[in-house]
Amino acid sequence: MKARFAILFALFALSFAHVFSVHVRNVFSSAENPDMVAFLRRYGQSPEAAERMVPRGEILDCNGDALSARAEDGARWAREYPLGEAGVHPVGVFGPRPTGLERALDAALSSPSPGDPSEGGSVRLSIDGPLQRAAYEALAGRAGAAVAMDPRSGRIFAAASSPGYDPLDPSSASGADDGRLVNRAFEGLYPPGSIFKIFTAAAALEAGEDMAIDCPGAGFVPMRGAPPVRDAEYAAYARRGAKWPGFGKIGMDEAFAHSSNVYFAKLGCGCGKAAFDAMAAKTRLREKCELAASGRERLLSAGCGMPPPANAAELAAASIGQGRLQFTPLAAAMLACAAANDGAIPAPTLLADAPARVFSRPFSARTAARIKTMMRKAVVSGTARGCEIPGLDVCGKTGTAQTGNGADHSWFVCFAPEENPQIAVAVVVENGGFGAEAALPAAKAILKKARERGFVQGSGDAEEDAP
Amino acid sequence: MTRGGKTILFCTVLLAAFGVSEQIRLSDGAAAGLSGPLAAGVLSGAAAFFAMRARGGDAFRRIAPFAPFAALAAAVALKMFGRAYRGGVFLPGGVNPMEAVKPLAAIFAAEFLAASGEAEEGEKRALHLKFCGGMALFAASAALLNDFGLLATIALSVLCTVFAHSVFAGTLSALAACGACALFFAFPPAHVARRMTAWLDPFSDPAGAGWQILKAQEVMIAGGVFGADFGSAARAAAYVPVASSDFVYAVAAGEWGLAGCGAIFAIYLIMAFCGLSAASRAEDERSRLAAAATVSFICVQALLNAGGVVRAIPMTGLTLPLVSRGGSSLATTLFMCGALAGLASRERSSSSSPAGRRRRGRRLRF
Repeated sequence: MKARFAILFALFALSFAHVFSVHVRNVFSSAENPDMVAFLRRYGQSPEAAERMVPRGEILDCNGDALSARAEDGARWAREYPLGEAGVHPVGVFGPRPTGLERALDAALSSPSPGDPSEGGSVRLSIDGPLQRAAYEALAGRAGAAVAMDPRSGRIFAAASSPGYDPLDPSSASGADDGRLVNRAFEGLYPPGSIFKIFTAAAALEAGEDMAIDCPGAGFVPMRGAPPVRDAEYAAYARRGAKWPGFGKIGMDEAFAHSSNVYFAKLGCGCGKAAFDAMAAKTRLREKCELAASGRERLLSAGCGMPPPANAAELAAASIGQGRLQFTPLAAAMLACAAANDGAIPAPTLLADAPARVFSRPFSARTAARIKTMMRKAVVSGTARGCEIPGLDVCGKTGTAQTGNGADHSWFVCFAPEENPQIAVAVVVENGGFGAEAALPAAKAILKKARERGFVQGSGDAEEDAP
Repeated sequence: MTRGGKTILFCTVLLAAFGVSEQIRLSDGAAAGLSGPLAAGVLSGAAAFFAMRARGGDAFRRIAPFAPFAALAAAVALKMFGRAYRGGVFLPGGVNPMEAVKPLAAIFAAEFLAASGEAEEGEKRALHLKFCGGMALFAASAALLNDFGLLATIALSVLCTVFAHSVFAGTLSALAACGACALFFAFPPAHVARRMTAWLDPFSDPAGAGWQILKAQEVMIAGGVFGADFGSAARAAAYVPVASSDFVYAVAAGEWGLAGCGAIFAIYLIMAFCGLSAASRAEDERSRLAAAATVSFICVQALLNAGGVVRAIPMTGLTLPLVSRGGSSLATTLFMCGALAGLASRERSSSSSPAGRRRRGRRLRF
C-alpha cells in the first residue's frame, strides 16, 4: 500500500480506536462518576445500568452511628433513617429529588469509598444523634427550631426543625400546610425580638457608647408621627389597670438584664443608622452560609434580612429586633457565638472534619467580654433566670418577637459555660409567647442533654473527652 | 471478483443485515418500511459496482461537475418544501436528498484533484477557482440548512481525499481547517453552542440538553462487555431518544456490548483497508482518489456518529452507515459501497494497454 493510503488508514484506525476507548471508559468508570450515578438514580430505566452503580454510602453522626443507611431489604436505592422525623431536617430524604444533606452530599455518597471501591463513600457529620433527638423533643411538636453549635469551631451538634415528617413517607408532608417541609433551623426567618439587643449593644460598645439612659414609662417616640417604643412591662401593667413607671435612668447592664426596649431603642437611635449598617456588614449575617457541599451541590442557610433603616422609627424598631428584621435560628446561634468567642463568629458547618475557620469578626474581644457579662447577669437575675443550671454558668438572652398577627415568637439564645464556652444554643418557638415561657425551657433541656453527652463541661464535671 | 471486492461486499451485506435486524427489533418486529429503501439501495449499489468495476474513477467523472449545483438545489428544495420529522427534515415521501450530497463533495474533490494533476499549468488556476466555487456551494448548502453534521462530513471527507492525493497538501489543509474550526467554535451559532454545552457538561442540564447523551450512556453502561440481553433493543427504544437513527450505536452497545461495537468498528476498518488497498493498486489517480473518497465518506460518517454517541465529540445528527434507520442514507451508502467494491474488484491492467492510455489521455471538463 502506498504510504499516503497507509497513513490514511492508520488515521482511521486510530480514530476508531479512540472512539472505542472512550466507550470503554464510559462503561467502566461510570460507576465512579457521582453525576452519572445521580442521573441514573433519578432518571434511569435500565436495571442493568443501576446494578453497575456503587451502592450509596451512609451519613453518619459524629459518633459513627448511621443517620441515613442502606436499607437491608427492599429496592436497590432504599434507605433507612434511625432518627426518623427528628433527623429529617437536616439529613433530608433520598429519592429522585433528594433533599437536605442527602442532596448536598450526593456526590460524596455516590462515589466509591477510598477504603472499599465497591461501596459508596460515607460522610461523618458534626451532628450528635441523641442530642439531635433531644433538641427535636424539646420543641414538643410545636413549630420552631433549635440549633446547638460549638462557638469555637462552628460545628453544629444539633439542628432540629419542628414539625418534621416521616422520611420514609415524604408524600405525607406535602399536603400539610404547616411548612414541615421547610428546614426552619436554617431557612426559617423570624423577627428576632430582644435577642437582637446583643447586636445593638455590640454596635454601641464598638462606637464607644456605654451610658445610662432615662427610660420613662411612657416610652420613647423616635420621630414625629411614629408610635412610641415601650417596655414589655407597660402592657402588663396596663392589663392590671396600673401605670408602668418605667425603669428610670439605667445603664446598659441593667437594661440588658431586664430587656428594656426603651433603653435599646434610644441607644440605637443615638448611635445612628451608619453604626447599625456597619455592624450588620461586619457580622455578614445577611449572607448565606455553606454548611455542607460535595460535587455540584451545597447546603446553604438563608441569609438574614437586615435592611438599612430608612428613618429613626425603623432604626428604633430594628434596635429592639423588630421592624423589617428577619433572622434564622442558625444566625441567632452565630450571634451568640460572637459573644462567646471573643467577638469572632465561626463558620458554621455540618461536617465533622471541616477545618475551623472564622466567618466574621464583628466586634472586639473587649466588647464580647462585656456582652458575656451582661448575658450572664440576665440568667442570674434577669429575664433568663429560668435557665440557670448549677455548675454550668449559662449566659443567655430571651426574646419575645411581635409578629403582628397572632401570639409572639418565643426566642432564647445562650452559651455555656461563661468561662471558655463550649456550646451555643438558639431556640425559637413560633407563637410561643414570652421568650422565657417556651424557648428558654427547650434550650435548658438541650443544654442538659449536651452536658450529659459531654459537649459541655461545667465546674465539677468529670474530665472526659467530648465526642 | 477480487478478494478485496468480495471482502467489501461481504462486510456491506453483514453490516446492512445487522442494521436491518436492529431496525426490526427496534420497531418491535415490524418490517417498518425498510423494503423500499433496501431495494433501491441494492439496485443502485449493484449499478455502481458494475460501473466502477468496468470504468473505475471515470464513472464518477460524469457526476462531479454537477455535484455542487445538485447540492445547492437539494438544499433549496429541502428548505422550501421540507418538513420536520423526528429531528430531521425530509421532502414529501420521506426522502432526504442531503444524504446523497455528503459523498458528492468527496467525489467532487477527488475529480478536481485528479484533473488538476493532469491539467497543464495554464488550466490549473481556472480549475482551482472552480474547485473553490464548488466547495463554497457545498458549504452554502450546509449553511442554508444549519446542518453542522453535513458540514463536518463534507469537510472531513474532502480533507481525507486531499490527503490521499498529497500528504503535504492534506496536512496543510488540515491545519487550515483547524484554524477555521477554532474561529467557528469561538463564535458558534446558537444550536451549535447548545450541542457543545451538552457535550462538555451534559449534567448541567440532565433533563434538557444533556438528556439524549445521558440516556445513550445509560444503555451503553447496561450493555457492559457482552451486552445486556438479546432483544433489549426494544426496551432501549422506549427510553433512548432517536434510538433507530442517531443513537443506534448506543442501542447496539446495549444489546451486544463492547464486543459487538468492536466488531462493528472492525468491519468498517476492514472495508477501509480493502478500499485503500484497492486505491493503492489502482492504475490512475482518478481511480485512486475515487476509492479514497468513498472510504472517507463511510469512515468519517461512522466516526462522527459513534464519536458523538460516546461523547468523544459533540453530537452531529449523523446516521451510522448501513445500520441506522433512514432510506436515503441506506441507499446512498449502498451505492458508495457498491462503487468501492467495484473499484476493489477491477483487475490490474498493464499501464501500456490501450485502455490504460485512453483513460490517462481524457481531461476533465467542468
